[in-house]
Amino acid sequence: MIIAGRMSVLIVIVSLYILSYFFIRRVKEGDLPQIRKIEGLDAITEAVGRATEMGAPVLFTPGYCSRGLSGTGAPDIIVSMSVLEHCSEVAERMGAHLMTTICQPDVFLLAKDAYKTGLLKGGGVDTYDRVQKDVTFISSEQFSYVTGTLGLMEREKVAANIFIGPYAAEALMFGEQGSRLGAINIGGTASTWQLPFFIATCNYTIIGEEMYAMGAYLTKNPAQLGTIMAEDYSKLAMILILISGFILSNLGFPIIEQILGM
Amino acid sequence: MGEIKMRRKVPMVILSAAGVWIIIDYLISYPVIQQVSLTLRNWSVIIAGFTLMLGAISTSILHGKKIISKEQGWGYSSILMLVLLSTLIIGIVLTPTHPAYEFLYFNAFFPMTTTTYSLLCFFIASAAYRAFRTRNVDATILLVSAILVMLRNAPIGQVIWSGFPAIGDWVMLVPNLAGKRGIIIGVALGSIYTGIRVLSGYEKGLTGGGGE
Repeated sequence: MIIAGRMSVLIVIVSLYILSYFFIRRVKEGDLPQIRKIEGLDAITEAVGRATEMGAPVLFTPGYCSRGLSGTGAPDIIVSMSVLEHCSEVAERMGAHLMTTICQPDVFLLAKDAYKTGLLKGGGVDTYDRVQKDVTFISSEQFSYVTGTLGLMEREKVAANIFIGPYAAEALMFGEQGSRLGAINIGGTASTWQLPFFIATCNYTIIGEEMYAMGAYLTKNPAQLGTIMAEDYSKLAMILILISGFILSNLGFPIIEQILGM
Repeated sequence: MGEIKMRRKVPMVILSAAGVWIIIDYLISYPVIQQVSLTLRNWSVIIAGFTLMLGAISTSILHGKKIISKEQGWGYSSILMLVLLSTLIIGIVLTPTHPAYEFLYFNAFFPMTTTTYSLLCFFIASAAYRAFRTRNVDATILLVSAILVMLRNAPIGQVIWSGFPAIGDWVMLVPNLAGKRGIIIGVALGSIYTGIRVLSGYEKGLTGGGGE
């Protein structure tokens, strides 16, 4: 019944699902985990505050988002929208002007909703006009989006940039432009190809899996906290499987490989 | 309130059902499951096309308002609208395989894209100049490893000393690859759990309930 070679995938999916359900229930019962400090997230408030003092806007952009919600960057897009909501709320409370540029039309719809939710949480009114004005769909073509965003950064002289999402080649361009303008740059992506560019050009970088902890860190939502706990335990299990697989294979017992290849 | 909950619950149920179905299609080979899965994927392509239309309409409204009210930069908005409308009309009337459309694509759009992409080399030089400084231990390690990898890639490295390519290979294949794989494992788990939250209905932001 199960396609050959995919039984292990089913076992992993079911195991992870059970683990997440278990830990979400634990969190709902009051066993809250401690998430270590993520400097990049704490810096968002500092960056927005700096922009408010300078009277300059803040830019949030989630990157190319190749193929939008249908692509492999979909989890990163979901995370970036929760960060956008947080940035919108912080900007509204501090009186800063937050602008957003979007590359994919399906992400554009999510961004408008996230921006509006953040405004409302921050005590904002007249959200319709502000969402229409400040959430801009540039183009679904990568370098049209890049040039549009770079132009906006240059014209508006942004004081803070928040680059969180599934980035491609534009990571370096945005980070470098932000540095050239003297802005605070906060960058975060799960792409290992673009992380070095963010590390080189951004003041704060959110690396890989810290992205997925961001939602839990910001919202303290039980579902997100529970899955972070489950993720940590899954990682521990993976490390143990890797080590035992390595040892057993070298001793001539490729049991772990056979199980994983089922 | 009940209406709002229904508006969020129904899309969530559809989303979860469709997602679970696609996963089942990956695991089980059964004609009916495959057929429904193929239909769902075709629908997603069609919906993506409609969202693109939405993006084009949003762009047109934004720039149209700028042109009408003659805001700063309305000249650029005029050019954008002219190009957008002409490409749209040529594509619809003459089809995208017509020489006129291909002329626009290969002689206007494509060179501009490649030109923008080529700016990356200048951005890399500028970023490297700023980042590769011996401010602290981490920055020094970054600088040294960057030099070793550059000497591995540039032919002059081999000319200076035949050992540079081997050292550069070691840097790329051992510490760099190890770190990369560690990040990839963490990212993969994070992605899976995000997917589990979406399919279980815990990610309310996707269906307009982000404020709860």
